[in-house]
Amino acid sequence: MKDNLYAIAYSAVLGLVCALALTAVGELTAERIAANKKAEEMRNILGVLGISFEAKAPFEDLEAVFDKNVRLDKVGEVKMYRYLAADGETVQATAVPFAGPGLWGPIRGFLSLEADMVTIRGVTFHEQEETPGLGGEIAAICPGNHDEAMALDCPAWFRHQFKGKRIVDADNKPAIWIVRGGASGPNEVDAMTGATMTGDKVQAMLKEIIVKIVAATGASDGR
Amino acid sequence: MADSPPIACAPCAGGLCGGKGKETLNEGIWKSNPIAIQVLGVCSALAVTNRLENSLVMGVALIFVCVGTNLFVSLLRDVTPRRIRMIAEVAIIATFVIVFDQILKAYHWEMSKQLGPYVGLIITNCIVMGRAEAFALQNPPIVAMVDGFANGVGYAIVLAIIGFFRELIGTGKVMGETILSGDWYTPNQFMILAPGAFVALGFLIALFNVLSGANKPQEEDKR
Repeated sequence: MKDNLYAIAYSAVLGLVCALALTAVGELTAERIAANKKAEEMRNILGVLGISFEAKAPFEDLEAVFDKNVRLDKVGEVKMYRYLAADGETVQATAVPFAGPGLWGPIRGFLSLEADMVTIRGVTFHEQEETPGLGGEIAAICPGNHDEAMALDCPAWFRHQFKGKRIVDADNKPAIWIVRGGASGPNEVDAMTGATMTGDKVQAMLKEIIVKIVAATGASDGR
Repeated sequence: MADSPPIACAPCAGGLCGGKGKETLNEGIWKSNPIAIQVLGVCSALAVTNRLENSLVMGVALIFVCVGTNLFVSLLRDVTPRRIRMIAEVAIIATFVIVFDQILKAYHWEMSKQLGPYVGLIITNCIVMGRAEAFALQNPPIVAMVDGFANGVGYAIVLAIIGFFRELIGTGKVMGETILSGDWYTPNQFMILAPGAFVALGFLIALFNVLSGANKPQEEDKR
């Protein structure tokens, strides 16, 4: 009995000390971690919208570029990051976050659309745990601009091929298809060899967000 | 490798460890190296070694956790009830791991993203718990810290070697700098993927065995 009480008291004290230590460290680092997360999100949004910024810029500079160019709107239930022209009004492009289950873990990314809200400007995946070298290549980044990335033997071709595609088909129905071999037309992109499962999941999550976007904006060819 | 860095031995020079320090150091780093000889903690050694930089950070993490855990387990060894000693050890290990993880997230965000869940998984790394159980429970704090340091360094060295070769062969780079130029060297992506880690680790263990003469078949085992 006495032993049991001692063991319980010991555990309680040890647990308390550990918890206090963790709380202290958590408090000390919370601000920096939050800033890091925010900075990463801003980098992703700026990147997918095609706004140039210095990759290694400190947080404040990044925030300045972000605040100057981007405005967050909520249309229906969809978050939209608008890339504003110099006049602060005209929308040049829109980035929409999307997420969904991947093969091994959650995938998160941004889909950016041109001002017409139907032509894709870019796609990025900033959080993924797909198979390295296969599905993981959805997040690949290549040096150079879009044309170079497409021309080079670079795994980022998958991401880059979305540029210029459309999120609605000729009947104004939401559509984007990842197809095996020989993508054609404005709604199809080529799948990656060896990453069928990842491709299916990415298609599902893109489809989901596209349906939402179309519902929220009523986007169609005529817009 | 046997004449190891003298840093950890500094307190021993003052006679604090009763001459046991050097032997402990040699034991952890070389003679019973946690990965190459005991084949413990292999999961993380396989998972994070696709780049040298990742391997080094992971090594530092393990040194930090091992030293901290061994110190506290040793300090508490006389007051810890035997029946719940493992729970106490895990609580201490978890505290150190989370502290390291938080610091990494606050000050080296990119690295923390690359290592993903593997820093957190140090909690389940058998090396840390193994040293706490096998050494820290029976030895005074300073020599226990030396033991933790030695095993951490033993782990880090092996990871660094594997990381170096996997990155070099798999991408032609070391620490992100191109060493083997793309003109004549085709990176062998196999080494970046998980099976490549098994191959690299296998060769390394074989090499350790040859060099150290460990695991030699006993005379009577020969036939």
